[in-house]
Amino acid sequence: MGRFLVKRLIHMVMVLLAVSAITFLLMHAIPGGPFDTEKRIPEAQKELIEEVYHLNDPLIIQYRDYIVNVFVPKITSEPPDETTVMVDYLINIKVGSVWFKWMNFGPSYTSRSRSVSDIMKEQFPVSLQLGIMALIISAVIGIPLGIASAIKHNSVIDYVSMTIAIVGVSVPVIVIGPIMMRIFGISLKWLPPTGWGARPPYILGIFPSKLDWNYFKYIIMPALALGTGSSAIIARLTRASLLQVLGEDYIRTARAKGLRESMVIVRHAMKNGLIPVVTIFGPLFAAIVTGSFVTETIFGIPGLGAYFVSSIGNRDYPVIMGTILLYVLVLVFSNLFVDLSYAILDPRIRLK
Amino acid sequence: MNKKFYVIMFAVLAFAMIFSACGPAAAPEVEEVVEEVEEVEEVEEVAEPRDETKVGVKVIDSQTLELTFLKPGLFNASVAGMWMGYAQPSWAIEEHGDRWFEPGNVETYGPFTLKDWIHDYDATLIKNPFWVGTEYSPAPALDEVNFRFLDPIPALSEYEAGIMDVAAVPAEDMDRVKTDPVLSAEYVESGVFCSYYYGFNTAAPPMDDVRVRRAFSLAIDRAGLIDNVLKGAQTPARWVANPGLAGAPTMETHPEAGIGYDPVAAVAELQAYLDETGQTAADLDITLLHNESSQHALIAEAIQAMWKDTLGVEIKIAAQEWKVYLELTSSPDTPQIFRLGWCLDYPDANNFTHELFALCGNSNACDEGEVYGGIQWFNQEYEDLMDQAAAETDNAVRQDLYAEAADIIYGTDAAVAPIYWYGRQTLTKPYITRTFGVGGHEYFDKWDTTKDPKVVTFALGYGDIPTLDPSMAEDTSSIQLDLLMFPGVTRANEETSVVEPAMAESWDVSEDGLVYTFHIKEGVSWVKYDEVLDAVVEVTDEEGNVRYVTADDFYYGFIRTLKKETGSPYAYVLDMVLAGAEDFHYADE
Repeated sequence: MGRFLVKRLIHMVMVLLAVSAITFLLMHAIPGGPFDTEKRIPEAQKELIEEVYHLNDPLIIQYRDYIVNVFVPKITSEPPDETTVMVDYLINIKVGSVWFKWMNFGPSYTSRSRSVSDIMKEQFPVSLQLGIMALIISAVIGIPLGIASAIKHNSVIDYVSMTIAIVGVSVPVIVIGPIMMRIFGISLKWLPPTGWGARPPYILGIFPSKLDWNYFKYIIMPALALGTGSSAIIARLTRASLLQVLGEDYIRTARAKGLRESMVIVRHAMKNGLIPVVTIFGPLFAAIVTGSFVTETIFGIPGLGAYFVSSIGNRDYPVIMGTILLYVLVLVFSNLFVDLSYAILDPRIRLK
Repeated sequence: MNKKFYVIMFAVLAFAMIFSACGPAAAPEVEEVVEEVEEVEEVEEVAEPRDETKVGVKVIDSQTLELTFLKPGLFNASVAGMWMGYAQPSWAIEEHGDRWFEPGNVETYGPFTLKDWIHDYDATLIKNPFWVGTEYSPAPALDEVNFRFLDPIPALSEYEAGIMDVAAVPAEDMDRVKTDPVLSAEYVESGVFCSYYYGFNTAAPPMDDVRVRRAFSLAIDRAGLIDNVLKGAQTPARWVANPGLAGAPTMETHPEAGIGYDPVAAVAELQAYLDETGQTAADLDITLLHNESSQHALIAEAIQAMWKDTLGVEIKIAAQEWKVYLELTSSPDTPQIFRLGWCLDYPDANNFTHELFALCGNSNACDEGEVYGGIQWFNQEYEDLMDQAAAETDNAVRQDLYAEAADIIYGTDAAVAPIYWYGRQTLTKPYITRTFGVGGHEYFDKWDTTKDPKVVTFALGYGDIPTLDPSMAEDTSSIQLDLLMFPGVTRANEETSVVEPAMAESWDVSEDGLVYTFHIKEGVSWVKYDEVLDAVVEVTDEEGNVRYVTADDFYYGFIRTLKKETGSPYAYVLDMVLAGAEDFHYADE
C-alpha cells in the first residue's frame, strides 16, 4: 500500500511535468499574444508591456523559470510580499523564523491585481463545492433509479427510469439551466435565478463557513443542472452492473437459503454491483469539476471554470498553466481515490 | 505500469532538473547580484536617463496643472480627462503595490468609492459623503451601486425576478420584450458611440479595384439588415464616426456624405469592372472574415445574401478566433473583406477617423511608414483633411471637413464600408430615474431611485473586472468604475458628449492652442471605505491632516501611466498628444 502510494505520487509529478511542457508549447504555438487587443497598441508599446512580464525572454528560459517557480520550494527568512502579484506563492508556511514558500504560479495578465494563486484560492473552492454538490445529487438520483430498474427489470418502472436517464444524458446544461431558472427563479420565485451564497475565506480552503438556506438556495439549481447528466450515467451503469450480478450463482444460493429479497439485494448484490459505479465516480467528479464553465456562466457563479476557458481566449499564459495543472491534479487524485476505494470494496484486489 | 513510460518520464524530469539547475537560479547568488548591479551602472552612464521635466505635464501650484500638447485641437481637453490621467494616491500605491486598488487599500475622491469587491462576482460602490458635488457632477442621490458580473441572458432573468434594476436586452429576447405589456413599458432604445463596419484590403485583388469596393459597399442594404436581422436600436451608417461626436457630421447637416444603399449604382460599378477585365461575377473569389461570434456570423450571412442577390457574386465566409483574427487583420495577409468595430476612447470624430484609418491607424497597420496590413490604404488628401479638422476649432467647419473626408474614404475610395451605428436596448425598473450614457458608461451620480434603501443593481457582463488602476484600465467595466471614483480634470457630458469641467473647475488655453492650464477644485479630500466603522472616511497623512486632491496627484497619475515599468496599455494615447510623452515613455529608468 505504502509503496503503491509513493509510486503513484512520483508518477503524478512526472505527469504534471509532461502536461506543463505540452501546455506551454501549445499555448505559445497558437497565434496572438496576451496584449493583442482590439484597440491595437503600437508594437513598441506592446514590447514594453511584454518586458514587464518577461515575455521577451527565449521560450525555453521562460519555461525553465516557470518550472523553477512552481516546483522548487523556496526557504527564506523573508515573509511573503503582499504588495506584488509577480511573486505570490500558493503555500506559505512559517517554521520558526523561516518561511517555507512553494508554488509561485505568477501573475494573471488580465486581472491586474491578482496572482494565479489568488485566483486558485478564491475561485477553485467554488467550483469544487459546486462539483461535490452536483456529484452528491447525481448519486442520490442515479443509484436508486438504477437499482429500481434493475430489480423491476423490464417493467414500467424500468422503462420510465431509463427514459428519464436518456433524457438526462441528452439535455445539456445550456437548455436545462435557463428552463429551471425561468420556472423556479422567475415564475415561482422560490430560488434566486443566479448567484452564489458563500464568500471567501473558506474552511480548509474548500468549504463554506456557513451551511444555511442562504447557501443552499443558490447552489440547488446549478448543482441539479450540472448533476442531471451524471445521474443518468450512474443510473444506467448501476442498472447494468446490478443486472449482471443478480444473475450470478451466489445470488441464487442466497435466495435458496431463504434470505429475504431485500437482504439479498442490499447485502449480496449491491456490494459487488456497485464496484463499477464507484469506479466511474473518479472520472465523473473530475469531469464535473473541470466542465462547469457553462453552468457557471449561466448561473453567474464565481468559479474557476470561466478562467479555464477565458484564459485561453485572453492568452493569459500563467492562468492557462495554473488551471490546467490544477485540473490535472483533480483528475489524478480522483483516480487515486478510486483505486484506493477499490481495494476496500473488493478484498480480492491488492494494490501493488 | 509500462516500463518504457517511466523511462521517458524520468528522462523528461531529469532534463527539466538539469535545465533548471544550469541557468541562473531563481535566487541568484551574491556574486551574480554584484555583477548585475555593475552592469546596470555601466548602462546608465551611456544612456540618457529619462527626465520627467521634459514631459508636457507641470504642477504650477497645488491646484494648478499645466498640460502642453503637441498639436492644437479641441479634443485635447477630452484626452486630458481620460482615465490614464486621473489623480492617483502615490502613498497608497507605494504602500500596497500591485494590490493598491483592492478593497481596504484603495483611496479615491470622486462621487463614489469602493466598498466591496468579490472577485468574479460583484463590486459595490458606496456614496462618498465628502463629495460636495460640482455643477456637472452632483453629490450622488444613490447610497450604493452594486455591479454584478453577469452574462446578459441571466442578467435579464434577474431583472424579471425583480433583483436586478437595469438590464440590457439580448437579441434573442427582443421580440418577447417588445410584445410583453410590462417589459415593453420599461424598454428604452438609446444611442451609444460605437460603430460597426467592414474593411476592404485594398491591396488584395479584386478589392484593389475601387469599382469592386464601391459596388460591394453600395449593395449593402443597411436598413434592411437592422429591420430584419438585428431588430434593435441600431442606425444605418453612412460613415463611421457616430453623429453626436464632436466634429462628426450628422444626418441632418450632411445627409449625402459617405455612402449608402444603391443597388443600381452597385451593379453598374461592378459591371464596368467585369467588362474591362473580361470576367464574370462567378469568377470573383472573395472571402469575408469575421471573428467567431454568432452575431457577426448572422450579419455576415445576411450581407452575403445581399451581395448574391444584387451583384450575383457569391462570397465565402470564414471565422477566426479573436486573437488570431487580430493578428491576421493587421498583417499583409488580411483577407479581402474583414469585420471591424470601434467604440469611443474620447468623444471626438478624430478618434473614429484619424486614429482608425489614417496611415498607421488602428485598421490600417503600417510598417516603417508604409502600408502593411488591414485596409492597406493611403490617401494624402485624407491625411491632410485629418490634420486640418483636428486643428480647426469651429464645430460646423469641422463637420464639413470630416464629411469631406468621409466622401473620400467611404465614397470615392471605398476603403471601408460603414454598416451601422450601435444602439442600446435597455430595461429599467420604473422606480429608477436615470440618464443614458452615449459613451457606453453610466454616470450614477445623476441617478436616483424611490426604492429604499437607495441601492441600484446593475450588470456589467460576465467575468471579473480586470483592474481599477486608472493607469491600467482598457476595458469598459474598469473604466466605468474608475470614472465614478476618480474623476479626471474634464469629463464628457454623458448625453451630449460635450466636454465639461470635472475636477478642473475651469481651464485656460494658450493662444497657440498648445498649453492648457487646469484649475483644480479645492477641498476635495481623498477618502476610503472603513469596514470596521462601515463608513466612508477621509484619508489623513502621517501628521493626521486630511489629504486633499492636488495637482501633484494628477501629475503623479500622468507620469505613472507613462513610466515604462507600469506597462500601461493606454499610455500610447498620451504619447500621441502630450509633448515629450513619447520620449519619456520609451526611455529607461
